[in-house]
Amino acid sequence: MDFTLSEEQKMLQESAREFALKEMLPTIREYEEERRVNHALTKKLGELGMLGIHLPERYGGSGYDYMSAVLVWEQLSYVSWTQTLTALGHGVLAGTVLNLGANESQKQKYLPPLCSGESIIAVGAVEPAAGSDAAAIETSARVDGDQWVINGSKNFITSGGLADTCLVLCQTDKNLGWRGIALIAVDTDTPGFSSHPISMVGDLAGDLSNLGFLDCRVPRENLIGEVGRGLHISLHGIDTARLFISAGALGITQSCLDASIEFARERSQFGKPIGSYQMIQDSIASLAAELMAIRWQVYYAAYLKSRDLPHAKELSAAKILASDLAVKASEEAIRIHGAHGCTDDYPPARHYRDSILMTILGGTREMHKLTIGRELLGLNARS
Amino acid sequence: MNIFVCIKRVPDTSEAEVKVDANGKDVDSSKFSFDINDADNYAVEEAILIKEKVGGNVKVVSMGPKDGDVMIRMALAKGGDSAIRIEDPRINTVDPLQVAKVLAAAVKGQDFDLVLTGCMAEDDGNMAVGVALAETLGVPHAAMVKKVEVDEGKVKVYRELEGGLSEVVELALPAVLTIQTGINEPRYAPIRGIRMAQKKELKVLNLDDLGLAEDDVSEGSSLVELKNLYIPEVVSHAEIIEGEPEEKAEILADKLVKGGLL
Repeated sequence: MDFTLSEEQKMLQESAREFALKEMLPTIREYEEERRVNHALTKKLGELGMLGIHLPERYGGSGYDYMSAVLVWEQLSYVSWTQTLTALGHGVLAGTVLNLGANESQKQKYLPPLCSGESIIAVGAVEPAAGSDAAAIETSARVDGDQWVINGSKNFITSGGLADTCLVLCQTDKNLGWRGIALIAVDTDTPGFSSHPISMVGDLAGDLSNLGFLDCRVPRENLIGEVGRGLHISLHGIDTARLFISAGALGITQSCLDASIEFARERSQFGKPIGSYQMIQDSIASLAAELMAIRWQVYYAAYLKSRDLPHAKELSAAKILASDLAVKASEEAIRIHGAHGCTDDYPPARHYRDSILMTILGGTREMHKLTIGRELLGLNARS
Repeated sequence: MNIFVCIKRVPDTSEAEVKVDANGKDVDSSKFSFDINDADNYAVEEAILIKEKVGGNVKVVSMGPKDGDVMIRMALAKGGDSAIRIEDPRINTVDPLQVAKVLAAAVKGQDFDLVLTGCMAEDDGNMAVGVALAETLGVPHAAMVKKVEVDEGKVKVYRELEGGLSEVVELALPAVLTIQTGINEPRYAPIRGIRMAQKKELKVLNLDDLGLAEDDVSEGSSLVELKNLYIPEVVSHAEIIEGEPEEKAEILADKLVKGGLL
């Protein structure tokens, strides 16, 4: 058992950290206040090879394992999770989905421009009536000649309004249940496609959109994989997204901790730094202790996933613990910063907004507990 | 064009309080994180830019323990071709002339056109190694370089002078340039570069490998002696200027002129 990071992993960390501090930190406030997306980041991260870090080199990726990816995601999220999600979330989700489910020519077509940041590909799974219960989707796809005709709507789609293509989870035959579900690529300039941004509590420099599909016609060959595999390959992408969120939560927590330590050393009340009071020290020490423990849980899940070993309960545990910790860390950091913490002059406020989302996206803690329960008890609460 | 670029690993003093260690001759660096010296980072970028423009080879040279390998490989990830790390406890790193002697030994005897260093190390602030290195190698140098134009057998450089002035000089190659910050925009290490950097050569050499005698570069023969380090006492001489903005500006300007600061 070796807990040390390799020289190469330290270099990945350093490169990502330097990028985040120089390219994201100086302007994040501006983008959040104006609720704008920094499109240049996607391109720059693509050029550096961070966008497709976990994807194979033959498709333009960097070919690193999930452990290395986690280190990079953590460092970028240290500055801003909304920008990290927006700049490379599509690589995480759509990249993983395509790498697993697409045929060779689809991979050749979609993955290189995705890895370079030239094109953005969203994954449309969630619907108004199908959130955690992804198999209950109602968006339909029927065959008409050599085309699919798609009708329905999707909710809370990451980068849905920015995407060039959306991989849409569709039901081809209601009677077949999950066996009828297919993933179909729809270019967003297809007539009948529409997107509507959602105003969220966080992700202010990102895009979560509702999507509409009204008689969208796309070629038959846009089917990713085969009918009946849609749910499986989408869930595989969501699995990677969970790891991405867990890594992001570590970055947020570390940032809140660092900001709190700095503030508590500098801010004086009653004649001494507030960090010298025991209640502040307790808060900082508790956060640090939890971060130490949960970081290893996230790394362990990444380790298992990198080796293709079973990791459902380990990753669910990491996702619950890390995202809850990010919320707690940003709350505590705000408390330590006092009224300053409620302003955007300090990092905790923006982390607070984003961390709330982390507890929901990629599966709620309730759903993840059901996963852990199923693994331990051998009884599935969902069926 | 064969380019050597010398880099130094320095503590980031912005993150932690600077304290002098128990023997009073060094800074307690246990709380610091370390990274490449800022000006050296620009020197690395300039070396790679020159290589990309005219072709050639960039060799990274650094002195210090194995902890510096990540920094060295980052320079390789950005485009350096190979590296030398000199590690030997016998070297007196306090004396820039002796440091220059060691670096020169690593460069001498090899085919080189340019040696780039940062113009100043952030830790000791000496600004001496680059210049001393040129002297030791017996080649011309230019310090505080803000722009480099490489030509056949020569190099035209723009040096930063005080008061915003520039001096343009032409040097015959080979030459040593000490690079000022801001000359370029250092790139981030691309992920693929990081992978390739693991396979590039990083040679570790000591004084014997370099053919240097201990006496040449150790404390005993040094002309520099570090007596003592101390944190300057903080004294307060603040004067609050009262009045309307125009009056305040006038009083302030008057004080600055009288104090010889303008």
